[in-house]
Amino acid sequence: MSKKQLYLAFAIMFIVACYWPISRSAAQSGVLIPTTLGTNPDKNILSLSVMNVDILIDNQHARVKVLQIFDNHHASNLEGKYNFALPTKGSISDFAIWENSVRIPGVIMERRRAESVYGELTSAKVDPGLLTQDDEHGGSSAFSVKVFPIPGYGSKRLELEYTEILPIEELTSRFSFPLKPEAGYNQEAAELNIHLLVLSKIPITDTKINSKNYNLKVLKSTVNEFEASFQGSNIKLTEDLDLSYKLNVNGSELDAIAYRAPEHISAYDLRDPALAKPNPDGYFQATAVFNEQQSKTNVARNELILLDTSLSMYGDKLVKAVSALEQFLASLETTDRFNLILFNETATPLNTEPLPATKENIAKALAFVKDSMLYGGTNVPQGLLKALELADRFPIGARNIIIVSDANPTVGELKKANIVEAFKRANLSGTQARLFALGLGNDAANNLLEQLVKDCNGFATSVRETEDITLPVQSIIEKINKSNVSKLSFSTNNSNFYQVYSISEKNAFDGGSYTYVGRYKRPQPQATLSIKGILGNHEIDLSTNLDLPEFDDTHSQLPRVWARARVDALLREMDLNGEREDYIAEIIRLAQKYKFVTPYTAFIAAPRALLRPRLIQPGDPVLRVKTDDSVKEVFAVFPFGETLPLKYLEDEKVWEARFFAPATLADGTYKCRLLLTDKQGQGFQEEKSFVIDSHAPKLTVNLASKVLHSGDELTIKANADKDTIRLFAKVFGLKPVTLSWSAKEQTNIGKLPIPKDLPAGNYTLTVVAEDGAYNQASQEINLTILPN
Amino acid sequence: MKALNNKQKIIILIVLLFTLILVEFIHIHNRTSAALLTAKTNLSEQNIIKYHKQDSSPLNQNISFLNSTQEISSITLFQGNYFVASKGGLTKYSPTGQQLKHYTSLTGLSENDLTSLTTWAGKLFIGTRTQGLLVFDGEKFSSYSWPNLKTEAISALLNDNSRLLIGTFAGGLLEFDGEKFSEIKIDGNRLKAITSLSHNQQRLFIQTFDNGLWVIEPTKHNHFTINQGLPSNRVVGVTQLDNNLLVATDFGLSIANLDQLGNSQSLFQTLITVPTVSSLVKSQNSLIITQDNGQIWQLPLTTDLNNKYLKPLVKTDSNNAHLIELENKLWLASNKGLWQLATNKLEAFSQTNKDNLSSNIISALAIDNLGQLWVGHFRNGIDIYSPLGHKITHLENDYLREINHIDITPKGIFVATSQGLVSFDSKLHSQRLTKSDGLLSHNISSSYTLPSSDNLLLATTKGLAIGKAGKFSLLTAIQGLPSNNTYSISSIENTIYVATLTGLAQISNGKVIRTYKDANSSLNSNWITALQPVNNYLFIGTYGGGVYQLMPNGQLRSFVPEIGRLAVNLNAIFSDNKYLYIGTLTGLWVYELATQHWNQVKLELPSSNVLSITGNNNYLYIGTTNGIAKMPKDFFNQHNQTESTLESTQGQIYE
Repeated sequence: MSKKQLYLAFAIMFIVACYWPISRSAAQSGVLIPTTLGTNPDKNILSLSVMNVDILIDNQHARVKVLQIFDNHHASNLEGKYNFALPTKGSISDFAIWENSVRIPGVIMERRRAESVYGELTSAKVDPGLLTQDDEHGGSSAFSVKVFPIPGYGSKRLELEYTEILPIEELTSRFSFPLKPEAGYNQEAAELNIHLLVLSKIPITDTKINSKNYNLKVLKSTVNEFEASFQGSNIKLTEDLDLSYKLNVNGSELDAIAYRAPEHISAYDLRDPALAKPNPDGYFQATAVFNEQQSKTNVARNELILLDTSLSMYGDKLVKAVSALEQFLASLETTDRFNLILFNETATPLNTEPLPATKENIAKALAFVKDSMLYGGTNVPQGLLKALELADRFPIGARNIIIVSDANPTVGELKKANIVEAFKRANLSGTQARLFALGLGNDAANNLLEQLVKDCNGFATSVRETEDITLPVQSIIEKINKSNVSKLSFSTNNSNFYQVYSISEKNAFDGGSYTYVGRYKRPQPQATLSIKGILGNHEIDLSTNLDLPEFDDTHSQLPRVWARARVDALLREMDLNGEREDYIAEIIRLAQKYKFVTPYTAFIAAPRALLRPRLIQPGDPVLRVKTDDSVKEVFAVFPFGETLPLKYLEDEKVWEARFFAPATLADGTYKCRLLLTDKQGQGFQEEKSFVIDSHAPKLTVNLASKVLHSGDELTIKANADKDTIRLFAKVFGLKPVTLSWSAKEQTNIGKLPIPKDLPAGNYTLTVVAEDGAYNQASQEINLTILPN
Repeated sequence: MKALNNKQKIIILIVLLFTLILVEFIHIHNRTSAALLTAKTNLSEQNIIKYHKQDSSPLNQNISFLNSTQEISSITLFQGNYFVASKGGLTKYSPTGQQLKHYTSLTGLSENDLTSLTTWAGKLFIGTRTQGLLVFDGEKFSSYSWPNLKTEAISALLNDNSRLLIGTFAGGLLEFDGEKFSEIKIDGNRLKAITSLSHNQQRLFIQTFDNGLWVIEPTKHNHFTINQGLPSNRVVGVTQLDNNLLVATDFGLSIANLDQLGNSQSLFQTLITVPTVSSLVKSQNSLIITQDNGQIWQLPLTTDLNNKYLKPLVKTDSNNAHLIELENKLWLASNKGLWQLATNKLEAFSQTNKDNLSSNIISALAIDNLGQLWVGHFRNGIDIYSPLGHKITHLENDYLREINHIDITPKGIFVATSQGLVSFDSKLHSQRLTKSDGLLSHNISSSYTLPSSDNLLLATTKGLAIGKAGKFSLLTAIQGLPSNNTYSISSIENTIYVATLTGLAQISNGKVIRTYKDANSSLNSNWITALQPVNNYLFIGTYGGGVYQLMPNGQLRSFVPEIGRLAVNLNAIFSDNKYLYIGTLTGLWVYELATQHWNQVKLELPSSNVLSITGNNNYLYIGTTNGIAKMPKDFFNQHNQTESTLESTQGQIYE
C-alpha cells in the first residue's frame, strides 16, 4: 500500500469515526443497561416508564432531583448498570434505590468498604445500589450504579440528586440538564415531568429555555423568580434541557451570605474524639459579579488551535471537536492570524508559520483535519510545547492558544503536576501566551485544563458529549477578546475567617463572577469583606459588610458547598503532589458527612437493615430484619410503647423478634423504629412501617340476573374495601375472572363467559375479596343456567 | 379656725386626688383579679376530669396467680419499707431486702402490670398498665379511673408538692390535688406518650416516648425534638449539668445551654451517639448511662463529654434495664430483677423467687400425664412446674423460644414453635422437625395426633402438613383448603377439621370434603382460630366473629346473639366435658354444656387477654398476657350462681 493509499484509508477511518458512533458501554445519561443480557440499553428489555426532574436554582446554586422508573420486560431477574452523566461541576448529594415499596437511601461509605458490602449483598441476593465516581481526579462526571436484581416483569425505581454551582459569564447564567443519551442510543420516557424554579436576589431577565422537545409552560416570571413545568407522554429524549438567564446588575457587585447553626456530629465523626466535638464555627460565601462594561479590543487576533486527534476522541467527542474548530475559525477576521496543530502521540502543525485567516486558509485547515488520522494516545505536554513554539512565531501582540481535547494524558509525561509546571515554565519564560481550553466529554480532565489556564490568564470550559457546543465555544471567543480579572484576592478586616477557598476555578472575566467560601470563628456584626482584582489597567475593589450571625440557618447549603470546596482543594493538592493519609481521611469524613462521592467514597444504597414491609396479623406478630454482617445488635421501638431486642437466627441469617400487638391496636399502618449497632459500636437508626390487618374486606356483589343461558356473558359488579388487593369470581369448572375497577361505573366489574356447551342446571358463583393480609371475604350466589 | 392658704389647699387637693386614684386603682385591680380568677377557674373547670373511685376488696381466696415479679418498673420508699412495682404486682420489702408481702389483683390491685410509683400526701400512688391509678394507705387499696379518658398506661408519677402529677401514655398529663383531677394541656393540646416526669427547681421535665422533651417553667414552656437537635424523639433521661441541660435519648446524649432554652438559637448539640440508651443519672463526678441490654457506662465529668471517655462499668444480661435514683442510691431495674449499684458493682436487692414464671405472656398451656404443668411462653421458651407448683425446669434455645402450642399425647409431647416442631419424650429428650423433614414452613401454629394413625398433623403457614419425620406431605389451597394459613386442628371420629384464615375445612380420607365460610354458612368471620370437640360437637372460635357450634348434621349454631362477636385467641379453647372455656381479648368465657349458659370471668384474671387454657380434675389454668390464674374447678360452680363478678362491686363516680 502506497503512502497515499494509507492516508486515504486513515481518512476514511477518521470520517467513520466522526460520524458513526462506535458501540460501547461508556457513560450514558439516565440509562439503565441490562448487563445480564448485554452491554447496551435496550428498551425492549428495560424501558423508562417514568422520569421526573425537579430543578431548583437558588442564587446560582442548582439542586436537581431525578426520579426514574424502569420496567423490566423480561421474565427473569436482571442485573443492571445505571449510568448518569452529570454536568461537569455537578456533585451527587443523594441517591436511593427502591425495593418494591421500600426506599433504600444511599449511604456514603469508604469506597473499598462499599464495594465489599456490595459483593456480600449481591451474593446474598439482597438489593443494593453502588454509586461510584470513577475518576474525579480527572474531572469525570460519569456516575454508574450497579442495580441488582431488577425483578422479572417488575420495575426498578431510582432516585438521584445532585447540586451544581452555576457560573456566570457575560452576566448570563446557564444550566444544562442531561436528558439525551449518547449518540447511537435512543431513550424514550413513557411519562416525563419536569419542574423548574429559579430564585435570584439579583434581578433576572431574558430567561430562555433552549429546548425544542420539552416545551415548558411558564408558570411564573418575575425579576426574582421564574417557574416552568412540562408534562408529556412518550417523549423521545433527543436533546438536553438547557436554560439561560441574564443577571441585571448596573455595575460590579459583591454579595455575601452566611450560615451558622449547631453542627450535627455523624457516627463517623465519633470514631475520632477530636472530631466528635461539634464545631460551632460558621460559614460564609462571597460572590463578586463583574460588570465593568469592558469594550472589546480591536487589535488583530492571533490564535493557535490545538486539536486532539488521539483515539480517545472517537465518536461524539470528535464530532464536537470538529464543530468547535469550525466555529473558532469562522469567528476570525481576515486580518487575524491563526495556526492549527493536531496532536495525539505526536504533534503535527498545519503550517510552520502563522497564516492569515482568509477563506482559503480556513478551508485548507479544515481539509487538513479531514485528511488527518485518528491515532494513538494523547501526549498533552508535547502538544502544548509545540503550540508554544509555533505561537511564538505570531507577530507581537496577544498570543492565544486554544486546546480542544479530553486532556487525559496517556503518552509522555503523565503526572499532571509536572505537565502544568512544564507548560507554565515554558510559557512564562518565552511566549507568554494565553491558553484557552475546551474540555470534551464526560471523562475530560477538566482539573488539568483548569490548572493549565489559571496561570496564564486563560479560561477553561467543558461540554458533555451530548451537550450543545455553541455556547461554550462562544464563551471562549468572547474571552479571547477581553482581558480577564487578574490577581483576584479575598481579604477581610480581621482574622475571624479561615479556610477560605475559591469555588470559581476559572479565571474571572468581565461579565462573570468569582466566589469564595470559607468559615468564621465567632459571630460578629458588620464584618467587612473585600474581593480585589485587576481588569486591564484598573483595579477593581469590591467590598461589602456582612453580619456574621450567632444563628442563621437560612442558607443551609453553605456547609456542603464549603466542604466540597475543601475536598476539591485537597484533591487538587494530592493530584499535584501525591496522596496523603491525613488528606484522604479528611476527604472521607467530609464526604460522609455532607454526602458526596469522591474517588475515595461511594454511595451504597444497601440497607443497614431490610425490614420487609409485611402485613402482620395478631396471630403472626413477627418482625424479621436482614442486615449486613457488620451489625451486631438490632433493637426495635414499637409505636405502642414496647421496645424489644431482636435475636439473630444463624440458620436464616436474619434478626427476629416476636412482638405482642396490644388488643386495642386498631388495624392500620404503623411505624417501627430500628436501632442498629455495628461491630465498631456505631449506631444507626431506621424507620420502617408494618400493617396490622385483622379484618376481612367488606364485600357486596350485584348481579343483573341470576338466570342466564349458556353462551351468555355474566357481568359481575362488586364493591369491596379499599385494602382489597384481589377480587375475583369463580364458578366450579369455569376459569375464574378478575374483577377490576371501572371509573365509569364506579364499581369493580368482571365478565364471566358462560360456555355454550355448559350443561343447563344450577351453579354456584363465588365472589372473593382478599386483602394484603390474606383475609378473605366471599359471597356465594346461586345461578340458574338455561339451555341456549 | 385659721383659713387655709392656697398652698395648703393645693396640697390637700393633691392628696385627695391621689387617694381617689389609689382607691380606684385598688378597685380596678380587685375587679381584674376577680375576672382573671373567674377566667382561670372556668378554664380549669374545662380541664377537670370526671373520675371513678373504687375501694378494692380481696377476691376469691382459692384462686392463685403464677407470674413473674422479675420485670421491675419502679421502686420507692413508703412507711419505712421499699415497695417495688413489677409486671407481677406490688412487693413490699424490708430495708434489708426481705420480702414482706406481695400484692396482686387478688389482694387489692386493679391489675398486676404496674408501671410507676410515687408517694404523695402520705400515701403510695401506683400507676397501672390499663386500669388507672391505685392509691395505697398502707392497709388498703383504692383505684381511680377516668371513664371519659382513654389513658392507656399510667406511665409516670411525680410528687410535685401541692399536687400529684400523673403522666399517661394516651390521656395526657393529669394533675391531682387530692380532690379532683384536671388535665394540663399546652396551648390547648394534650401531651402525648409521656414516659417520665421530673423537676428541678422551677422546671418540670416531661419525657415522651416519641415526641421529645417538654420543659415547663412558670412563665413559659419549650418543646424539643429531633428538629431542635435531639438524636431521637424518645427521651429516656434528663439532668442538669452546671448551666446546661443534658438530655438522653435512645440514640444518644445531647446538650443545650439552659439560659438559652426557648431562644431560637438554643439547639441541642450531640455529645454521644449510643443506640438503645435507656436512662441517664448524674452521680457525684460522673454521668451514669444505661443501655436497654443492661450495660452500664460511666462518663467522668472531668473529661470532655464524648464517646472516647465512655467507660463500661458493669453489665447484667437483661432487657428494659434502667436506673432509678432513690434515697441517694442508684438502683438498676430490668426484666431480670432489681439491683443496687454500689462502688461499680451490682448487688441483687433480694432473694429471687425460683418459682417465678420466665415471662408473663403465656401462649400455651398443657398438663402431662405426671400432672406437670407445661407453660409455653410467647417468646421465652417453656417452664415446667410440678403438680405442687414448683418450677422444675426452664427450656429455651434458638428453636424453642416462641411457643405456639403444646400437645400432650401418648406418643409424646409436641411443641409447635415459630422455628419448627419440637417433640419431647418422658426424659425431656427433644427432637426437632424442620424443613429438612419435608416441612415447607418452620412456623407451626399447632400439632395434632390422630388416635388411629401414627401421622402427625401440623398447622403451618404453608398448609396442613401430614406425616412423620422426613416424610411429610402437604395439603394446601390447591387441594381445597380455604387458605394455606392454618391455625388449629381437631377431629371427630375420622373426620379432621382444620381452622384456616379464610374458613373451616372438613377433611376425610385426606381430602377436603367441605368448607365453611361466610359465603356458605352462618359464619360471619372467616378467620377460624380455635377448635374444640366435645362429644360429637365441634366448637369453633373465630377472631372477631364469635363462637359457633358445628352440629353432627353439618349445621352451624352461632352464639353471637348470646355473647357477641368475640375475638377468640389462637388455640385458646378447652373443655372438661362439663364446661367449655374460651379465651378471648375480653376475658374467659365459660359455657356450661348442660345448661347452655354463658358466663364471663374477668376480674379474677391477671389480665383480661386470655391466650391459653388447660386443666385437670381439680384446677383450671388460664394463661394470659400477664401470667397464669389457677382456679379451682368449683369456682365455676359458685361463679355460675353469682353470675359474673365483673360488675359485682360498683364504685362511685365523681366530677
